[in-house]
Amino acid sequence: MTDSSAEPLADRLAARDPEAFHELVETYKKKFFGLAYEFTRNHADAEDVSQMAFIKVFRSIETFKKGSSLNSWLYRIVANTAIDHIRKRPFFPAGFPESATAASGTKEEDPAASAERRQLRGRIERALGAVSERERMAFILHHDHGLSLKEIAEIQGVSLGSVKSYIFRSIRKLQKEMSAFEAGWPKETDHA
Amino acid sequence: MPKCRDFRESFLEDQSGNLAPEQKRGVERHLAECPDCRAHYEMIKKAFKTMDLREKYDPGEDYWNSYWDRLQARMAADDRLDRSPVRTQSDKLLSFVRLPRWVPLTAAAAALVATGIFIGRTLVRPEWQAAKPGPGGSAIVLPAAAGSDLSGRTSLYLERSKRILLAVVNFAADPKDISGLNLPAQRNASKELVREASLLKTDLRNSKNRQLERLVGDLERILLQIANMEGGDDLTALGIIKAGAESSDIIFKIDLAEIIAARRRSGSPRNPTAAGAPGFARGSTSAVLARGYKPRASGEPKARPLTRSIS
Repeated sequence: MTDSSAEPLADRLAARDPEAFHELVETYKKKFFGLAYEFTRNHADAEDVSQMAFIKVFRSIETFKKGSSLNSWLYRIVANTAIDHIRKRPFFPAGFPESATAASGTKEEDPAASAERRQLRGRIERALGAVSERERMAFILHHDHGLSLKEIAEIQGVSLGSVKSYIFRSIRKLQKEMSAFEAGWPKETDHA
Repeated sequence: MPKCRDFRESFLEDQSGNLAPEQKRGVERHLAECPDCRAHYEMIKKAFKTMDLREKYDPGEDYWNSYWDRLQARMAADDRLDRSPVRTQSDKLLSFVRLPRWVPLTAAAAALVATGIFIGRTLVRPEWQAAKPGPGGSAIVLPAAAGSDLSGRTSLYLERSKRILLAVVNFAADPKDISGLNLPAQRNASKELVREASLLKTDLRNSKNRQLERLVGDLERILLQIANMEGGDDLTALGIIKAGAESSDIIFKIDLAEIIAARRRSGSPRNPTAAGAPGFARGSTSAVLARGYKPRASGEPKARPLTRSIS
C-alpha cells in the first residue's frame, strides 16, 4: 500500500500544522486500535496500546525522517507498543476475542448456519493463535491493513524473504486447520 | 525466462492488490499454463478469502467519536504525573497546535458537560427501572428486560469493582506504607473481575444495555491496570491508575446509577444528599463522602478518608 495520502500529513506534522496531530489521530485511530486488538484480544488493552502509541508518536515526531514512509513509521510504533505490552503484562484474561462474541448480539438468520460460522471463525482464530507473534503480525498487516511486503519488512526490521516466510507459515497453519473443517481446500504443492 | 519460483514471489502481493498491472498480466499468463502454480495460487487465494470471514471487532461510532477526547484526557493525566520541571505534554501540545490555552480548557469543560448529558440521557431511560435494593441497600439502575440474574450480577460486579477503586483512590502514596493497600488482594480481586467482564458485557449487549456495557468496559480497563501492577512498590503505576480513575469519573458514574435507582425507589427525586436517607445506596460514594470512608474488607486496613484529588 502506498501512503501518498499520508505524506502530506507528514509534511504538515513536521511543519507544526495546528490540526495535523488531530488529523493523524482521526486517520489512524481505527488502524491502531485494530492492530492492537489483534494482539491484546480485549477492548481495554487495545485502547491502552493504541493511546500509548499515539502518545509515542506525539513525543517523537521530531525523529521521523522526512522522505521516509510515515505509514511504516506509524505502524512500527504501534506494532512495537503492542508486542511490548503483551510481553510485559503478567496477566491477560483468557477467552474468546470479543470480536467473535459480538456476533451473538446480531440477528442470525439460521441457528445452524450461525453455529457453523462460529466454528469456522474459531478455527481461524486457532490457526492464527498457533503461529508466532511475528508471523501473525506479518499476515495481519498484509491481509487486513493491505501493507506491501516491503513495508512489513521495514516495520518488523527483517528481510523481504523473512516476511514471505512468516506469511506462508501463517497460510499453511490456516490451510491445515481449515482442511479438517472443509474439504474444498487445495493441497499445498511441494515446491512452495 | 522467469521460473515458477519467480512468479510465486508475486502471488502474495497480487492477493493484497499491490501488484503492478504488467506483473499481474504476467502472473495470469503463467497461471494459465502451470497447474502446480495454479494450485499454489488457489491456496493463497483461499487463505485470503478465509481471512475475510473473520469478524472484526468494532466498538461502535460512539467510541470512535469520543476517542480524541479520551486521548487528550489521558495526555492531561500524564501531565499531572510528570514531575519534570520541563514543559508538560499539554504545553507541548499547545505549542504544537499553536492554540490559545482556553481552547483545550473549554473543550475539557464541554466534554464534562457532554458526559453529564450523556449519562443523564442514557441512564434515565424510560425502559429502565430501578432495581430492588440488595441486602446491603446498594442498588444499580438496571433494565427491566435484563432479568434478575443479570441485574444481580451487574449490581454485584459494580459493587465489588467500586470497593477496589475506593481502596486505590483513597490510598495516599507513601513509599513506607504501600502495604496498607494490600495490593496482592486488590490485584487478585481485579483479575477475577476482569475475567468476568467479557461475559457480562456480552450479556448486557445482548439485552441492549449499551450504557452499562460501556460502564463495565471502562471498569474493566482500570481493573486490568490494577491486575497488572507489578510488585508491591509500583507507585508510578498506582499514580497512573488513580489519575485514570479520576479522569474517567468512574466512581461518579457508578454513583449516579445508584442515586437514580435510589430516587426512583424513594420517590423523592430532589433530595438524595444525606447518607442514610431513605432509598439512598449505603455504599455510594456520596454517602461515603458524608461519613468518611471506612474499609469494609479486611484486605483494606489502611484506607483513608476519601479524597477525589489525585496527587
